[in-house]
Amino acid sequence: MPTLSIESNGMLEKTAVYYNGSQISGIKELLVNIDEEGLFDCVIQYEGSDKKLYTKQIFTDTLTNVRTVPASFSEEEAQLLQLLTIESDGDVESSTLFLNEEPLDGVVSLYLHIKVDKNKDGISSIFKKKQYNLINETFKSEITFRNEDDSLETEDIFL
Amino acid sequence: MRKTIFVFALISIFMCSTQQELMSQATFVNLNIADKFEKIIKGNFSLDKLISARRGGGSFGRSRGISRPRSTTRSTARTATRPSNPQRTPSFGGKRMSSQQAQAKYGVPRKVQPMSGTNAAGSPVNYNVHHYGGFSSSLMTGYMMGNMAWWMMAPSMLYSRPVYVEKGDGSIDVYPPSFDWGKLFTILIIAAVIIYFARAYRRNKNRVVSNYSQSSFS
Repeated sequence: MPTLSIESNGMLEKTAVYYNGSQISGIKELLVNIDEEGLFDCVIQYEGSDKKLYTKQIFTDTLTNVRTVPASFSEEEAQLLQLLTIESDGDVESSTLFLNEEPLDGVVSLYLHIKVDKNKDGISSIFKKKQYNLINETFKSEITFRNEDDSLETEDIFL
Repeated sequence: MRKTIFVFALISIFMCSTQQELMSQATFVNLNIADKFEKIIKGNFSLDKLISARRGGGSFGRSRGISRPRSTTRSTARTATRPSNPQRTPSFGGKRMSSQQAQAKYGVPRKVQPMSGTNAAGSPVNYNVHHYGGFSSSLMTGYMMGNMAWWMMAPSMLYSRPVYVEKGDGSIDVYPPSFDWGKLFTILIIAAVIIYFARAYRRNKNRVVSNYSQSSFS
C-alpha cells in the first residue's frame, strides 16, 4: 500500500514530501482532498528526472522518473516539524491517517494543497529583496474532526 | 481687373512665403512691396506704369540681347566676405581657445615639435605641437598621427580632445588634452549601477535557491 508523508511547519521552505519512505523533490503542486463522503482526490505534479512535468494520482499511479533525494532534515530539525502520513490504496475506506506517527480517527475531511510557482517579474524582481516575493506560494492544510458530541472542529495540520 | 490680379498675387505671396523666400525673389525686393501695397489701398498704384518702368533697365521684360559667354571668374566681393578659417582647423572636436588663453593655461612647454599636415582641402598646414610630458602628450601625438596604441583607447575616453589654436601666420598650435573628471565620475556611476543590478540579481537568485534547498518543492 503506497504511503505519502508530508513533514512541515507550515512554511514551504521547510516542507518535505516522502513517498514510500523516500523524500522526493521537484514537486510543483500537491493536492490531497479526502472526505468521509467518498471524495478522494490525491494528485501530484512534479518535474521528473528528464525535466518533464508529470501529473499523477498519488495512490493509484506509478510515479515515473520521480527524483529522490536524501532526507533534508536532521533529527533535531524534524522534532520541530509536524509529520502527516497517509496510507491508502485510492479508496477512502482503506485510508489511514497518522499525525506524528499517531493514528487519527474521527476525521471528517482532509484538505491539503501546496503549490509553488516562480514569479517571473523580470526587472522588478531585482528590486525585491524578500525572497517570498519571487515565488508564488499556496499552502493550505486543514483537517476536520468530529468530536464525541458530533460537533465538527477544523484545525490546521502543520501549525 | 489688373489691379485685382496684382492684389491677389501679393496677398497669396504674403500668406505662403517665409521672409527668406521673399528676400530671395529679387524682383519683389526691388518692387518695395510695402509702398506699393499702400498705393494700392490709396488707389494710386498703376501696374502699367510699373511694367513700363521695369523695362527700362531690369533683367526681365526685354528680349535677349547679344549672347555673351558666362563669366568664369567670380566677383571678388564674395572672397572678401570669406571666413577667416579656411578649414585648416577642424571644426568638430577640440576646444576654441585663443593663443593667450592657451599659454596662460598650459604654461611653458617642454618641447615644441613642428609637424606638417594637410587639411581636408588638401592644403599644407603647419602644426606646432606643444609637449608637456605625460600621458596627455602621448594622446596628443596619437591624435596628430591619426593612430594610437590599442591600450590607449580606453584611457583616452577620460581625456578631452586636443586644443587647436590658430595663429595669425596660418600655423596652428596644438595643446594636449586634459583629464576630464566629469567623464570619470560618469563612467564610475554607470559601472556601479550595472554592478549593483548584477549582484542584486545574483543575490536574489541564490537566496531563493538556498532557502528552498531542503524543501521537496522547487
